[in-house]
Amino acid sequence: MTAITLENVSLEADGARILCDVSLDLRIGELTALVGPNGAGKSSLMKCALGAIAPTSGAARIDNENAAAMDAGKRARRISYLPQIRPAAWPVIVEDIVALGRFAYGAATPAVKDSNDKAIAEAISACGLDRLRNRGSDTLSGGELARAHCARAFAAQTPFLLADEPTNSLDPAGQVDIMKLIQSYVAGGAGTLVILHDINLAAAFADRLVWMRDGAIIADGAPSETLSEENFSTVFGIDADISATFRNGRVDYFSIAARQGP
Amino acid sequence: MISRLNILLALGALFTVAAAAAIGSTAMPAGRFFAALIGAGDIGDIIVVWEIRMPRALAAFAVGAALGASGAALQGLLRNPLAEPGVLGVSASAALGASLVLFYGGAVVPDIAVPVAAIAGALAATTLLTIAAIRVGSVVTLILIGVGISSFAGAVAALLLNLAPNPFSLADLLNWTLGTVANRSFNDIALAAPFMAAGFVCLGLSARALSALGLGEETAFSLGVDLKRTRILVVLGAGLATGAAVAIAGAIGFVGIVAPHLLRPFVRHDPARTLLPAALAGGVILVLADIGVRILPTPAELRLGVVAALIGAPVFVWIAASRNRTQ
Repeated sequence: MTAITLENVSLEADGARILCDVSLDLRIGELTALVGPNGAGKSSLMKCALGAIAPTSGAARIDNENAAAMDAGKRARRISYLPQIRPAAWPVIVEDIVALGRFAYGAATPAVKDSNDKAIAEAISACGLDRLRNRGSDTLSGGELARAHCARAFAAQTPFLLADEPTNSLDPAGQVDIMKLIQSYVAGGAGTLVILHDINLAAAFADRLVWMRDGAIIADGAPSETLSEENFSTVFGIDADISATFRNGRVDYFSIAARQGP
Repeated sequence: MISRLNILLALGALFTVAAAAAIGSTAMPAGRFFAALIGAGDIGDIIVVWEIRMPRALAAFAVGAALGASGAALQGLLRNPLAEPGVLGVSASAALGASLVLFYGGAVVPDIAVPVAAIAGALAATTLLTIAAIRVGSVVTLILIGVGISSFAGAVAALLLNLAPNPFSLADLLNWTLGTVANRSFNDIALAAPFMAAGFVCLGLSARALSALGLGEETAFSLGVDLKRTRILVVLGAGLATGAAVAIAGAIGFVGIVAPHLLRPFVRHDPARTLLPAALAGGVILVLADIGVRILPTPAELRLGVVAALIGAPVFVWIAASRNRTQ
């Protein structure tokens, strides 16, 4: 069974404590949203899970292997990663961006090429990029570029997807677009960890919420258990009225309003 | 995979090299040229074609190819179209290495010492640049560091000129700084060729990773790119190829910028697919420039490096000025 596990992970950099005794396991079939204020250590946690950073103490494992020491190609066939989007260095076309998702599978033999081509074509149509496949990335809107990167990650057909603020700087429709794509990827049999700043978006799409503050996990569980005024106030330092109803642990109705000061 | 573009460029390369062998101060009608080309015909013609013009044309092509491929690979690694052996000081460092051997070695150094010293100079510069690239986030800073390396190597080369004991060594040193393929023999090419070939192999092995790096280092890492290996391959490859090119012709700048820039739109801006066309185009450009150098009626023959800079520097400024979208 494929799994990503963080066990008592702590991370220090330049004397500062970035992650503090964090334990987390990611499971197939779950869309986990990681929420918390800026500087809470969300991106660092994600990079530890990916193996891009080795923890100072504790263990980050992918399939029971040390994540940071794992073979690069093997890791790439287990986890895809969407870092915060930056403009590509070259105005490469959408199809070539998506094709890079198959980097770790090679391109040498005809059999490999066929399965690559198939995965790329599926990812392109799943993300609604058919009409944009030959467009240069410099001509895309923010939402289209985000979809192209999603398709790149999906093309890898990995059991896990880690996404660092994939909805950042998108309009509301674009945010919902991306979250729906990620949700459908999870429904296809994958596990994902998504860093989100928008609590409404997290409430609408997450199967599980992980609340972080000051490098530590404050709460971890289904929205029905953790989507509380208390957690919101502890993590973000904002007093808010939350009203929500749940069905099967997931949010059915959600509304949040910051409380006015006294 | 050999694309149509590469076949076209390869045919262009054959044609320009043949043209370079046919054109020159000794007028040669087509019949006599082809006879000499296949080794028949007048012995004087054969010498002109095979011992004077052909080595020079092939030297220009090899140098251009090495600089074009090195430029394309460095641009891929550093994700900036302005990165280039000349601009980053790799060529100047290589020329300095060669000059040092010539200046201090005198007549006792074996022939192989010159390419080895040039390559050592080039590798020193590429290694320094890569260490800097890991530490500084900004590519603009990195290019400034390259400009600094270039200036420093130039200053030491100028110091050597200043201290030159006699006019002969002065002229010798000046050739390394200005860059020329005049009077090159097949022997000069053969000395540098193995290093250049090794450089091309390294650059070729880095190609796929360069495409992935276009999406940023974090993404490339997650895609399965071994970042350290890629950096080493490009540094080694660009160092070997540029060093070997400088060993043949001295420092010739800007080919590594102009060639990839011209070709990129035809390969959908993919760094991996830019390498081979940039090498072929770099070769063609330098052979054409060298034909120009030879037939232009100037009082003293122009140096190839001077002409390359006269054409290339404005292109560099133009590319830099039109880059307002990113950074």
